[in-house]
Amino acid sequence: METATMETARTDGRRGNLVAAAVLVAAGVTVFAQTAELAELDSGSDPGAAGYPRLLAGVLIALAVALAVQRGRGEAAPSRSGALRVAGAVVLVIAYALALEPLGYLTATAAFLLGAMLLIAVGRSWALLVVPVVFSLVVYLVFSTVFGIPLPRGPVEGLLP
Amino acid sequence: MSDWLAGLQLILAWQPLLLMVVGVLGGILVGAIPGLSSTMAIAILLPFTFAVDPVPGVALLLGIYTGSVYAGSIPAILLRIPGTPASAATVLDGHPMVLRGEGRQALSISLVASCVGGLVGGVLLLFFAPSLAQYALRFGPAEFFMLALFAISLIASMSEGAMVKGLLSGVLGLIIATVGTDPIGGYPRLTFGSNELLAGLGFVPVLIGIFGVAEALTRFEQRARSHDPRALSTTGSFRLSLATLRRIAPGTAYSSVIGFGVGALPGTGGDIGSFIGHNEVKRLARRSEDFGRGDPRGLAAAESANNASVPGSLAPTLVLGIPGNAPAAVLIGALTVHGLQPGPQLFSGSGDLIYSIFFALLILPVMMLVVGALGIRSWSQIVRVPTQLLWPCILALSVIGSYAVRSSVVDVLVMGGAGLLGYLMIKTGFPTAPLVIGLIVGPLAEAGFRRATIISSGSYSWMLDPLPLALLLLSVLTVTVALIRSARGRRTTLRSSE
Repeated sequence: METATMETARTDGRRGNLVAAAVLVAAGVTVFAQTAELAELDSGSDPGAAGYPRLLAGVLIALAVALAVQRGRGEAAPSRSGALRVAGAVVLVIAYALALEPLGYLTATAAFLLGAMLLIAVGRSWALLVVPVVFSLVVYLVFSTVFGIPLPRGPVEGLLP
Repeated sequence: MSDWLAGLQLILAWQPLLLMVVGVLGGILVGAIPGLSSTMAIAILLPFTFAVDPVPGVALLLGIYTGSVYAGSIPAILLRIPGTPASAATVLDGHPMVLRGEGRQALSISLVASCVGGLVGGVLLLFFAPSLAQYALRFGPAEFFMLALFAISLIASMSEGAMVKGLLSGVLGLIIATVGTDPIGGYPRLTFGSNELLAGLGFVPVLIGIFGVAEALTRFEQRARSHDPRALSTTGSFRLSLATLRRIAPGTAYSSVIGFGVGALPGTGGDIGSFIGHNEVKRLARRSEDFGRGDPRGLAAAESANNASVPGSLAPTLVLGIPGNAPAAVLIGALTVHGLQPGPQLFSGSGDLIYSIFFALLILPVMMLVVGALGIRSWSQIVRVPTQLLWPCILALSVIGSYAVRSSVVDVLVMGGAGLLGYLMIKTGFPTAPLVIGLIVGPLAEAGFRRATIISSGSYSWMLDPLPLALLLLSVLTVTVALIRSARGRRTTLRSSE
């Protein structure tokens, strides 16, 4: 049983290394492609605005190839539901960021917290009500009064001092 | 000698002393909240110092700087999220101690090591500031590039067994640092057409993403099987035994000196200093395999180095007018508001002011020890929140923190992207610290590499100059030694498993 788990992790690790190497090579190639126009401006004794990142991208690709031929080591791949929860959390963060300015800080934060707490399975109903409201209010007051950092204002913030 | 006395008189008045206490308290709060950096706090409180004289004003800002660099270790230890970039190395040994049920010991060690680091750094600044700054002034672009390379090879060598992944992580950090306006020609580069990216990827959002969001995402993934309650409630005793103190003492003293030295180099600060200090103490330690797994010596090394780097970063700032790092750059701004131009002239013209700053840096660590010890129970209470409630709040704070730096939604998206990258790195066994180091030294490395080549009219012969060559050989040696060690380690593992 123990051996089977280790074997799975090793296979996952090797596959993970290959995927990582492929992604890194792609990143290196992107750097080359994105600096193509800039490279034409490079001249004279300066290694260049494009030359320097290209040098790094070359090193990155070489190291990625070295990684691809290495023996794998990594954590076991997440379960399907685990991966879905991670994706859900990322989507929530993006939605929160985009809602921050149109909805105002308080509404967006309370809604985000409610969603994130449901996602991570907070069972207590009192917490689902209290935490989003109290947390967003306290942070708002600390930021606006103590630190004087302006947070995006929406309809709810208009009711506050 | 009269400058010393005049400086002492300036600082030992009720107003500067009171403002230093307020600064340390405020700094601890700021440092303990991830996303609020020392630089940001110093910048925000800068206007308040207009109302007072230069000495109390600068004393307040130094208090915030000192307090936040110490308190950045609190979330680093308890939550694995550095409160300020200077605490990135504190995570390595601080957090595993909490997982092992020694959270209170970790908090006490960090406080004591911070105080010692600050004091050692203050004394070194007082005695060596002029000569140190002069030495750093001799460094040209070639030396800076090689120092950056050395930092990355050091940090990659820490991830033994995953050396290639560590180097890849570091190079990726260097590449991310090239996003934005090219520092020499001013061309937009790798911005994918976005105007917001012209100024580069914000360092704070990337750091919050890599260390905060990535961690939160792993918690979201492992909903069912994780949640070690010990991770969030500290246990054990705050009291440090004489044996513990004796065990951490040599590394703390050594790392304080390293932290000061690294902090004194322009462009580097507590973040790099604490990584180098941690790595150096690990290198010299007996039973060094415990480092990174909750070794008190590693925690003390990181904390003493980053606090010693505070006075260190002020050496070139005050003597040459070259900021050691971002908080020091804001401090230069605070001095110029009062009509004082940091540089050699200030040293001879306003010697009393310079010495009052030196003495403030000796008083602050002691204040920090007292304030920190009085509140040490409250700091660890901050995390007595059920984990499932905590992680959504952490994500929310990360978003707000990234947004607040520049009131930018793009920064939040950058943070989210960095968080996902960090999560994927954790899952595939890539160390994240080299990426952050690459990001920090990136601009320095690029400017150094290109300027050195321009000066040599396009030839790379500058790499063979004595000091750059020595640094290059050191980097190669660091990587080689780590590779040999990891190969030897693998052979041992294979033999023992047979």
